[in-house]
Amino acid sequence: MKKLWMYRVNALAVILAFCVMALAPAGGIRAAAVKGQLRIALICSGSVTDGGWNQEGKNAILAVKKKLHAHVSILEHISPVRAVDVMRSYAMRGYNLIIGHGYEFLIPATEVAAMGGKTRFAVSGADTTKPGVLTLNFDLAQPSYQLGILAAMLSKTGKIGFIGGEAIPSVVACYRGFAAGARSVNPKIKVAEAYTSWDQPALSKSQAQAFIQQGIDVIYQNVDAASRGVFEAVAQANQSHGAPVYVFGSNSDQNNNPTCSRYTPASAVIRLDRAFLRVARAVQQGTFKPGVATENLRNHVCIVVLNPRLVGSVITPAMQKAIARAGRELLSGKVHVKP
Amino acid sequence: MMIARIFRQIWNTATALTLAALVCAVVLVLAIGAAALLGYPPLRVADLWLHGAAGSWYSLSSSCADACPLLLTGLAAGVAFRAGVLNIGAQGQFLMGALVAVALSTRMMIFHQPALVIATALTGGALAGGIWGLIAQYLERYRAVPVVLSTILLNFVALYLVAAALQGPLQAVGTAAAQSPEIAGKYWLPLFVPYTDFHIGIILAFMLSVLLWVVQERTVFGFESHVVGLNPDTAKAMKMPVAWRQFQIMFISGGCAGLGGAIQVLGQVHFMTAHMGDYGYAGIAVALLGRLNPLGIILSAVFFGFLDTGAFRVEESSLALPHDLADVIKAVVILVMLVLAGISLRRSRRAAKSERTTSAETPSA
Repeated sequence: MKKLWMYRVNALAVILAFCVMALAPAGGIRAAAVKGQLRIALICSGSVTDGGWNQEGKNAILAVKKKLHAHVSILEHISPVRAVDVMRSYAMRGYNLIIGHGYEFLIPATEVAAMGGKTRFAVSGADTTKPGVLTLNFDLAQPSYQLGILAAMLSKTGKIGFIGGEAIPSVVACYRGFAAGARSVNPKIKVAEAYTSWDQPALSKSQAQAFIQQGIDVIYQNVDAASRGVFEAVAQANQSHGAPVYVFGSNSDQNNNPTCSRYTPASAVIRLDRAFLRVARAVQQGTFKPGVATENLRNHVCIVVLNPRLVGSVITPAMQKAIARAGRELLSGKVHVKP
Repeated sequence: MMIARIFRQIWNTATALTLAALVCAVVLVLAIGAAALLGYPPLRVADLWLHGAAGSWYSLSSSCADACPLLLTGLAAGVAFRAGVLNIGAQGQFLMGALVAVALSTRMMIFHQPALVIATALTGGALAGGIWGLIAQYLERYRAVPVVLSTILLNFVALYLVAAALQGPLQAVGTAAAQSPEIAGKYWLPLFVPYTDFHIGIILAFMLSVLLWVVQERTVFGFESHVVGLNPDTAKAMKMPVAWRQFQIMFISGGCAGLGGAIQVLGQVHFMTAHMGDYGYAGIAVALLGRLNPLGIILSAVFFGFLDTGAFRVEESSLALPHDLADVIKAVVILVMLVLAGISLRRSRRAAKSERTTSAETPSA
């Protein structure tokens, strides 16, 4: 009886396998893009709803889609291990531009670019060049310098702080710019620095609370998805504290964060949409060139965005003037901040 | 007689695996049905999935390349679980293997001839994984720290060690990114079909699976390690070297995972970041689906590889069905398999109980 059952199961499996094999050649991958339409793929390492880097990437590429009427495909949760496979697959299907959103996609993009073909490759957030790939290097140190000026002018205690997600050079550059800007206003100002995590709001919250207890009343955070913790700490401090405590956003415009937008006067923003649009246009017009494109204040990609609801109340005209002056000095080269 | 026994073993294995395959097929059909309920055209989803996974040499090679690290981490889990060593640390062992292989093929090259570099990197990776596993076994044997606990913790140690190395001695020159230098093209694992992902690491992994099956089924070592897994007290009473066998099994298990990491960097990724995928954890699911049998693990890993690769092709298409559906399918398959295993265990216990009752009643009758 048992043997008969086993025979039946095995026979069924063989039939199923034949069915699958018979079905397999029935069709093929058909693209939905209109002929002649620009086709762009964005590859992200994390979730496009992370409220930070990846979400900004998605918003930026959707803005490009709207402006250029392009066909856009977005893939999230792609590790470098899978990157070559998906990039090659897009290239084989005739995509014009593939953007790897993060430095980890640089080597995979180089490998696929080396295979030839008409597809162009760009990698955002990388700082070095590889053959056949355009890297977008975002210099947030310049807007951080401007935020430092604003922090020094806002601070009543003469103590400000910086919280980074990780002590990697691009984040340390933000601290350096922030501290330099603050010291240009008040040479005696104390600037604390700490590095916690990108994705653990509890850690960043406890660090922000420690800063506030030390008398720090302006915090600049660059902790991506963990920024919620800093906002919570600042919101709580402002409920119980006499003097106000302010926080600055980074990477995306975090001035409208739901936790403490009344105490978020400004953010250092990377306008990914502008950078992506420029690359997509270059591909469309046939002027795309591999290399490193430094995106900064000059091309309006890395900028300071003031909270319009606080302009005139918290942010005084003198502060606005100081920020604008610092911008001019940075552009003219009178002030230099190491990226 | 012996040939008949081998055939019987293969037949039993095939039956068990067919059952697993049937479960997979049913769950796949249900998943496509679920996609239809969500508004995706089911036939097109199935079509894209099949073509994406096996519609061309290129897709087939992608699926197999994805299955390769899963196969090796699956073997790591399967070999260990069968011998009662609860090695949950394949992820850490995989990372250590990858790290050592990258080091030996970039910054710390002992030789410069490609074949020797590849051989030393693969051996170094396997040894690193094995030694990383032995730490956990040592802690259990001499410090009473359960393997299940120490292997989980060692995963984190390995992860942070990798992160530190990639921001320190193994960081690529000219970048602030935490990643290793790229391995030079001449040190990549050779391809046996040009312009695809069919690298020799895949063959190596398949051969290792068959070898492990032979060792498990046809050698004294395999028999003893199985007895140790089933009942260490019985094994001890039968004068089997229980602790020694556990150390050996852990080394083999860690070695498989380490080799997986080494093959992944030399054959597929060609550089290293701290985000090398969760192959170590996925390997546990692969081993369970393959019923801890090395041949079953081959099929199970290939199934997972095909599922993943096909899912990516569906997501890349205009349908944009999230590839996370593949993870849902995997999870459901594992759950169904566990339920079936539970039912079969209960049945066999009931049968044994009734057999005992019958044999106890027979003398009095």
